Amino acid sequence: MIEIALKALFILIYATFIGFMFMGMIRIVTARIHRRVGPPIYQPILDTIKLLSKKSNITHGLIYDFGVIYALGATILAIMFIPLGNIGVLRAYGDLVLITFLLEIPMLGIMFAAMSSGNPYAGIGAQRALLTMLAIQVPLGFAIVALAEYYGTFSTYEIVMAQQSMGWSITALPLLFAAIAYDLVLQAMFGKEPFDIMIAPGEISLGPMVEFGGKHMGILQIQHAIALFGETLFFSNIFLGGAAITIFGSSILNTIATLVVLLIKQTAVLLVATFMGAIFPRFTIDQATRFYWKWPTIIAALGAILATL
Amino acid sequence: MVDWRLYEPLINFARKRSMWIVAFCTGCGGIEMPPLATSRYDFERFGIMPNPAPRMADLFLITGYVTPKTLKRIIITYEMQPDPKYVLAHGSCPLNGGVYWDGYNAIKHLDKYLPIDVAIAGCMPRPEAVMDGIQKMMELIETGKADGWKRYKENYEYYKKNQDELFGEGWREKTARRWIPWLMDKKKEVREE
Amino acid sequence: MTLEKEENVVRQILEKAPYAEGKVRRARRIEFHIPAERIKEFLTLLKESNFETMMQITAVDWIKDGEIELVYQMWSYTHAVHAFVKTRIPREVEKAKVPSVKDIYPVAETYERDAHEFYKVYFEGNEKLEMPWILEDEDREAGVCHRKDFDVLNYVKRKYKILDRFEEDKEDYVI
Repeated sequence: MIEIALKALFILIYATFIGFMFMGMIRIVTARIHRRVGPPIYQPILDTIKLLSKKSNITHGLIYDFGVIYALGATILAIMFIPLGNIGVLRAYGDLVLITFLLEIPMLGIMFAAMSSGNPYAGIGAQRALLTMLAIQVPLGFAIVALAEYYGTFSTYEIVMAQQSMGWSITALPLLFAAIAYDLVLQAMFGKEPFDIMIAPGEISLGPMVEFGGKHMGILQIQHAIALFGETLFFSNIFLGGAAITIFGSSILNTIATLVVLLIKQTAVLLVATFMGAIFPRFTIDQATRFYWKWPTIIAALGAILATL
Repeated sequence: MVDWRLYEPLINFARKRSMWIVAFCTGCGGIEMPPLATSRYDFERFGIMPNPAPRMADLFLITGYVTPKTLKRIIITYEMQPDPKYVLAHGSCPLNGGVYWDGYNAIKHLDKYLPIDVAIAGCMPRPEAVMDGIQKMMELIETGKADGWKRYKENYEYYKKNQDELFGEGWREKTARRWIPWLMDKKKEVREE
Repeated sequence: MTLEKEENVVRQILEKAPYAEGKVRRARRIEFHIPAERIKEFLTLLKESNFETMMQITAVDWIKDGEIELVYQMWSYTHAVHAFVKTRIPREVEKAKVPSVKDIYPVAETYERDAHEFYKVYFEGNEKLEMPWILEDEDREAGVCHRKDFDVLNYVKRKYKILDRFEEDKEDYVI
């Protein structure tokens, strides 16, 4: 019992720390692409400390406060289900559909809070974010179905174990298509260009986040860090063959080796997303929806059909 | 409970290394912002980031002259920001009117209406001078002397008296309602067509 | 270089409008002087002779003559020629009234609002003259305008309460 609580606490602290490092990595890689010296890599930690120490807080009622905590809670629950070496707490119960669902709830929570604040920019941003979520469901669904058909099971843990013997998922052709479609969906889930219509800085003043200041924004930064960690971890587990190393004798060295291998794979996913984000401008919401329902859907559907053969 | 005052050095370090600017550049100094933000004199290495929402920002750059029309909006935006907040004034127009010392439409002495922490001289100051000013602002935050927001709260009657003398009493409601008769009439004639 | 194209344009327009006087100032710039009652006819004529856009309505205050001069600046894309159309109207606020040209050139409504706000010229037929434009309400009520008989320096001293700084008979200032 104590052991499970300690493991959960460790996962939480590790995920937050690595999530902040990922956010800093996005900023510094983008800066270097622009030929500037970027901020130091621990910059998001300083941002969060500053935001949490703001002395006055503006609140618009109960739903406004509740939506933010709801988003953070859903993200924390999501990372408990994803296998993380042998310290994943609830990994036996985490199946694909549950984790996908839990990784999309934070957006809903932010929408509640944003729309209850009464700012018209927040209303427009919330509508656009919900439309983006609607747009990404179709390729996402086909990718999950392709995976389930190929491996015959919905459980993430069994998919990871199967990849240890059969090689990485993306070496099989149907799953390569599913991985490409899912990578495009990841751009929208991270909120990076070309699909950052829901954040849209400068166009609608940051969309849903326009009314959040002080402590609410600090909690949202923590949520963004943990969500980055969770989404990259999920992708590396199901497509890039998450690690389950058992070659060392002691379990601590096994755990450390697993975490390091997973970290390398997660960084690769993040860097691909950052590079794509640095060179594209922003799509409008109808262009984004039309894009998602055309090519990623076709590719993912092709992958799903080939997986059943 | 935890006494947060023990963590003041860490919190001041975080506050000075991650200032977020409200993306509101008044007057003619807005042209000096892009060299600072892009790769020539990069200010993102100090953690400064432009941010369009006033609720998340703490540094307000007043770059250049301020007209009464803009000053109304600046005061509304300044009061929307959460504490602690800092104001950096560029150029000689916020100090004493600058080139527009006899113009009917430029504010002569901005410190009467809004508390200023650091003022940078010049017309417009070059980016190196602005970097100097940002460094002085970071020093003031570190030693805890950047207290424009405290001055605003404590001397609110003084600032409010000056603002009301310039704009007339009840200027917020009058500004918010100014366009409504013109927009309502237009809507009526569109609906009749 | 010859100014043939501009002289052709001037001649064509003067044939149809005998009450006007016109001349060529330099390449691509011509000038017409017309009496104030004939503005609408003349601008209709210009619109039919391919002067598609109105660029600005400028007002000049000739205080010694007691008149305000309105300059309508027109541009023609087909001829590539800029035309000044100058009229003079009496200066007193009750008598400075001109018919509005916004039915010929719809953009004139904004420029007439501009001239009204700063020079107090009334354009008959334009009902949006009092719409908020540049001056704030407190300046409008105090009667700020760009006419030469409005004392701007005293107004500034009163408004910003800097009575002790500027005197008009000093040669140089130390502020």
